[in-house]
Amino acid sequence: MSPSDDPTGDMAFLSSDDADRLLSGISPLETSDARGVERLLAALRSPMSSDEAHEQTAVASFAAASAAAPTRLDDARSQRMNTRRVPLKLAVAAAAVVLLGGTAAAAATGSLPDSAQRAVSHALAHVSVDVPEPGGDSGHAAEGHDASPVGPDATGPAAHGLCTAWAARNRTDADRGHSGDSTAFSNLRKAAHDQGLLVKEFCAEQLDGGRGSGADSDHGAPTDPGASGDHGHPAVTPGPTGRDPGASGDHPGQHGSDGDHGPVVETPNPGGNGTGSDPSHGESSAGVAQVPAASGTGDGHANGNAAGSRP
Amino acid sequence: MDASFDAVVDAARAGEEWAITHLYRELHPRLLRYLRAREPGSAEDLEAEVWGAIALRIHRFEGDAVAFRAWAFAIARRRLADHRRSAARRRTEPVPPGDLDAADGTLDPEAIVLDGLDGEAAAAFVVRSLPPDQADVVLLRVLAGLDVEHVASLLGKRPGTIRVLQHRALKRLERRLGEKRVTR
Repeated sequence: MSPSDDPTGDMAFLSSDDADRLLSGISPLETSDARGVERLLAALRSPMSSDEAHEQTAVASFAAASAAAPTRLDDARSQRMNTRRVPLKLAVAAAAVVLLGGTAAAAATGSLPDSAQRAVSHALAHVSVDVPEPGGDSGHAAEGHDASPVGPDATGPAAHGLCTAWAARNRTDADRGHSGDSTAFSNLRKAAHDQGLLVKEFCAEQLDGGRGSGADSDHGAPTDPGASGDHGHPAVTPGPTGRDPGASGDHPGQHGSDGDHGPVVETPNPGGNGTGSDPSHGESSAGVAQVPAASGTGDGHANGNAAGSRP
Repeated sequence: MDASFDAVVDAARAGEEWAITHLYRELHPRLLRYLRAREPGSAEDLEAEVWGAIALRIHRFEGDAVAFRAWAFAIARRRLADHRRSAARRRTEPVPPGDLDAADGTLDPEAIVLDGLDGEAAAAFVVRSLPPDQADVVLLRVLAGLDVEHVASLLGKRPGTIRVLQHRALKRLERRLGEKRVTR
């Protein structure tokens, strides 16, 4: 970078210990020479304004997933022994967290407890919900194999839900420069363009008239249940089987999920139990991914995913 | 503290909203600020994925609040890496990491030092001013609230390495800020 970056240069004023204190949020003994950094770090720590609507959605989605799971602690413990038991509904609910449409799927399959289902649909009704594409990068699911990222079909009944999400996102994210660039929104854009409309116009039709197509908005709308079910349910498999490829596999398994050992283990992958053995980070996200094959969508893209699409 | 955190995690596993809200409030601002600094265009989507992963696996999590943050950030980092890999494959991502340095000029360090206590700008400044490994260390130490040992574990490096990186990082940041700083 710039020539002035030489870390060993004349910047002796800030000792290693002081640097550590600053980063720990403790004022160093002598800060006068590092005032800029001190302020910078204070800014980094500054509280963020909260977005209650977003929080509600996030919490409701989380609740839907965890309430649908057999998540009592003792249950969880025995589950480590018998990891195959994770039921379909857990996977479906998990998909619900990640996929807008998944919520519909979970609701549709009745796997959400009533309260969760109500909460989710309520939240989805008026909030900016992320609509990551089921098959696209955020879902990690079918990523890479299918030429066309899946995503909800914006021409079908999903239109209403997509438009709701789109409108909400535009409202809440306008100030963040967040562009609706997910596959779902691409589909929406395409559907609109196919009809010679701007998204705004397309959605105006969808949202105000009802037009029957997306009528049952919250639930049925966004994605077809089958699709997210596909991704969802095998999703769980990799996790449990691998003992937790997912959780700690995410990264050098520092903690926990894998075990009873405490919070953190110094070495990246302590155990030989295969936890972190997969070199590609892809692995756990693949958790959400590898699945399609298992679920009967069939055509072996699961392998394609693992083998082919990860460089 | 730990006992109560355990209670929170247990309740969150059971889907109790108060507990999930607690976890969310604890983590969300940190995660989002981190992800926005790293991948501004997709931070919200990535964060949603992180929460999805947490919800799926929280029943197997054990540890205290710090371990929980470390876990969440580990997931976030992996999602970020996945995202970048797939973005690189599709070549649709507008801002490759390398270009961030070029954008440095858009951010006035003086603004940060003198009046900007904006967390997002601060995080962006860190990312743009430092080599990736140093930026990672700073963000994880501050945003994730992790100590050297946790960061070392998360990054797969030795604690001594982390100390060196963080020291260099702060010196470099101070120098960059100092270029514009009005000394007092």
